[in-house]
Amino acid sequence: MDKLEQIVRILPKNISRLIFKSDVDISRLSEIRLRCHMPFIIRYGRKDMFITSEGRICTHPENAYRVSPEDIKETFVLLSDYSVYAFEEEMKCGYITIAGGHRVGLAGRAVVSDGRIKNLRYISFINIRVAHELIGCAEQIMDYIVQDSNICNTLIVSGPGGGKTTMLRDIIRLASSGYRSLRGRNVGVVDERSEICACYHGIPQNNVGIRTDVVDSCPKAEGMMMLVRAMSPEIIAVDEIGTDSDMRAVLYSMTCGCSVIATIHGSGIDDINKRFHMKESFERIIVINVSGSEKRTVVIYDGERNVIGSVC
Amino acid sequence: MYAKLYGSIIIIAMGAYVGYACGERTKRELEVIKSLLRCIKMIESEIRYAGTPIRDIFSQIAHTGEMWDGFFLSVSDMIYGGEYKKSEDIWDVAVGGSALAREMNVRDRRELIRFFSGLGKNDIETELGRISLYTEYISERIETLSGEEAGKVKLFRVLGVTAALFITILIL
Repeated sequence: MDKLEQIVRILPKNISRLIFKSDVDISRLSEIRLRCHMPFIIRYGRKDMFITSEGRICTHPENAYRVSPEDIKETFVLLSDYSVYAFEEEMKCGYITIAGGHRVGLAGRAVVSDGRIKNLRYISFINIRVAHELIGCAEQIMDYIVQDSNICNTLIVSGPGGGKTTMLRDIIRLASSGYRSLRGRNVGVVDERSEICACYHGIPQNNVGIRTDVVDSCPKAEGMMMLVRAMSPEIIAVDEIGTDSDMRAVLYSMTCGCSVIATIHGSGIDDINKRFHMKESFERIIVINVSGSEKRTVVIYDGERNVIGSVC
Repeated sequence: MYAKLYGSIIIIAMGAYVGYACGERTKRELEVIKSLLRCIKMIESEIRYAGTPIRDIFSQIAHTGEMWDGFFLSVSDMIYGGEYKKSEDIWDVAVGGSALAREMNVRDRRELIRFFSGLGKNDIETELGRISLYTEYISERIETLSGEEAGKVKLFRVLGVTAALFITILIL
């Protein structure tokens, strides 16, 4: 099933007809937004476009097709594979991952019990984020993070939407399958939000290499412990570490002999130096900077915080 | 005279057969509903303990050797095929086309469509509540049919033979 079919499968007939008629370019499509009684929006990169009732793409919301409550309801039933109960845990987190690794965000009325979200009702907003892998994006930096045929403990830093997860995914793939003279290694991935591997029914939808084991939708600290104890990983990969328990689990993994590759939110090396107390544990820090024109510059630092490389 | 005799025997035999067939139909209706109840219990277990999606549950049930195997397999295929977007359409087509569902009476068929059309649209607690209600309904139907079965089977057989005798007498 190609990407467009994977997306259209979860859309009601009204909307899938418009998508086909408007000849949407799936390679550029980043989001499909459905908001009850609001114009039907698609997003190319960071630019919003609207689709009319005749299936034409336009730039004015006045002419756009209006999403009805039935459209939202049908989309929700289709995306849950007619099994809403089977996705209760995902819905508590506000998203469901569908086949192909596309993440569908949901918003509506939260049902709260004991201060925790129990369920989502009256879902009126759906955001389909189209998954795009960038295979090969980490090839240029692999030489910087490999030392004595081993992968260093590496921290990837950037702001939101900077490409940390995309970079991490490709590093996992290269480390797992092998790259040039670097032999492939067992990689354990703790994919708390199903963003790295985009598992669907437990099977990674993204290419994460041939020696990768994934613990999906699991808290990072528990996931790392599980992997270290059960799956003999040589490398552990996690996304967005931050809490004390995450840090303890990272240290535990390192003391067990695993290399750790992790990502963290941050604006740059100075930001990390100021606030991240475990920075000394990482031999390499990769900082991804995004310019106004969405161009990315990757700067690699060693354990002494010296710049050892830069890639555009 | 022999022709009349043979004709009478044939008519009585046919009458007995029709009565027997009607009796067997009543027995079969009961078997169909009992098998349905077992399938519903399997669905309940899968939802309660594993949270298995509907399509996978039906695929599993389709290999259990129950009378409804073919029915659940066709529904699983329809869900997977993606041809029908609304679950109501899937169940209308599935039940309408099922020979097994046609062996149930009109009310049972309607309840079957109503139950399955609403399946999978709720959270787990509501889902289990609905299943519990439907299970109760089916259990009551089984109890009613079981109580009536013996009497009805005998009645149909007697009626079959009696009607045949009556026709024979009329013809003679």
